[in-house]
Amino acid sequence: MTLRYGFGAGLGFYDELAGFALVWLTFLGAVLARRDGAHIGIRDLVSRLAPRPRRIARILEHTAVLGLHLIIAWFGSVLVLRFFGERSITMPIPMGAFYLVLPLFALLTAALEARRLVALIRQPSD
Amino acid sequence: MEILVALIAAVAFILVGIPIGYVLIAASVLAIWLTTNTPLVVVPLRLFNGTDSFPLVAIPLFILAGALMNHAGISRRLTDFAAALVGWMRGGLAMTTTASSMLFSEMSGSAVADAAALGSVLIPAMKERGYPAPFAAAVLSASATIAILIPPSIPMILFGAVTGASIARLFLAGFVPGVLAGAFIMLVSRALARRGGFGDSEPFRLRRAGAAARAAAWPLLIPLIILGGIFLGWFTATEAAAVAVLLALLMGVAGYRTVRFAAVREAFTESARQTAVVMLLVAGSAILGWYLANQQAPERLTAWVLSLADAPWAVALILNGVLLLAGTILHSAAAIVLLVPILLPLAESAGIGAVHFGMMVTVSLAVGQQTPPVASVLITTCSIAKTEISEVMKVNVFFIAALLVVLGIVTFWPEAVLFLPDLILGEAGG
Repeated sequence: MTLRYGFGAGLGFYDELAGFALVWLTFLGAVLARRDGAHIGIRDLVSRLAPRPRRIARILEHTAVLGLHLIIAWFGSVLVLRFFGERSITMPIPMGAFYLVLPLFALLTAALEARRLVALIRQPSD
Repeated sequence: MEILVALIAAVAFILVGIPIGYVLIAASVLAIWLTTNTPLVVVPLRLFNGTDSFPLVAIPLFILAGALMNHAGISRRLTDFAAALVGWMRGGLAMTTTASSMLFSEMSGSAVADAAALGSVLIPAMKERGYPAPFAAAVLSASATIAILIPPSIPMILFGAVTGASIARLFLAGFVPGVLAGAFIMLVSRALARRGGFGDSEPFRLRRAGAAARAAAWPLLIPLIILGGIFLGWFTATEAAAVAVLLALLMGVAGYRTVRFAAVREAFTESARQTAVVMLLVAGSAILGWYLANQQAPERLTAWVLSLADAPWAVALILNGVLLLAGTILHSAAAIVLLVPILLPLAESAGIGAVHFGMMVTVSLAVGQQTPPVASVLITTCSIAKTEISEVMKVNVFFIAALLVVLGIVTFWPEAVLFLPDLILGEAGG
């Protein structure tokens, strides 16, 4: 807003950039939230299970989330490549560069999941 | 048939504890893959487009402003001020809880954040003075939901972004149900305190009220500036949110000198995380909503409901029922992005304008936050009060009843709500 009033009108790129910044904040923040277990979900059921079925449920959970993010990473990369030639509406930057956040988010989350899975499998079932 | 596969998979994912945001995306991937020929590259594209929105930029900014103000220690100042104002009534601390929640809600925009900040101060105080723990948790939980009615409100920003309705209008309209809900909750607390034979009060003292008002001047002034600015048309909700962040920083760093660099960094991380939690739900709902719209779900639903009942009051009741149900099982952000585009045509066919519908949605979802299984606010206050949800629910039903009365007023007497935006912003369609 400082920009809008300070420099007058004609700053269309500002609106566009703010929206893109929100996308980046969302998806990079989502990795952070996943790491800290902050996303909203129903965890009561699994935590009430006996140790063995709970371990199986956890393995299932992390496998499914890993799979989902590999899919997003794959199609996200396709999107980035397809739009690397196209410029954004207001900025001399290709749209593909902005879309980069999606494969990045998906790969980081997938890495988190893979690490948890390895830890779960290695850990002796107690 | 294939759609059933996607649905069963989604339920299974939720039950093994996968976060709802991921489940929404996974269900959309399955549904698009199984029932359409659309290439799946649409999924990341929709994830991007669903979150790329200038009005939604207000969300992280308001969350950040709220976090900064919390770190500056405003909760103590606001509760002192509320106690000075309403502490003389029977069940003074319960009244204080509701009143401070109303003041608090004017800046944070998130009911869970309010409940956590106020609960850590007020719940121990109530227990100390002989209020039963389940009552303390229930009154705070009910009061904290006012946060999404009194502006700035994240659900209203979402509603405005999804429907294109004026956020300023939604904010102004929200004052009426917000104040009504507060008054009703206070009446219920008084009755409960009288029946249960608990509750204290202290005499009203003007000097104390004046001192408390001065101490709370900053946190009281900031919402006045940003809301006034929005209503006078100086700035949009997003710009107001940016102003709120600047003022909150100024207050914490220069005014109270309670906020150090580490706390600022903490507030940024905290709000990035909170924003991501809300926005991931928005992104997931955006894809699923896009899929449903592609399947002509809104048109089919409208036609189907109208074939069952076409009286406006009946449609309004059905809408409320759907929204209340959605509020109990979905987070409010997901419910809005997913359901509002589907339900709005139906509402409009019954003569319900966008702002009126926005109020129905917000109040319904506020009630939904009070009931398990997804009762984020209730769970927060229960864990602070160290009591069981089932015990709290026995008290909470009275507060829920009060909120349902507000919903009834909002639904069937829209003039009571819409006169405020019409008065200040002038009459307008919708």
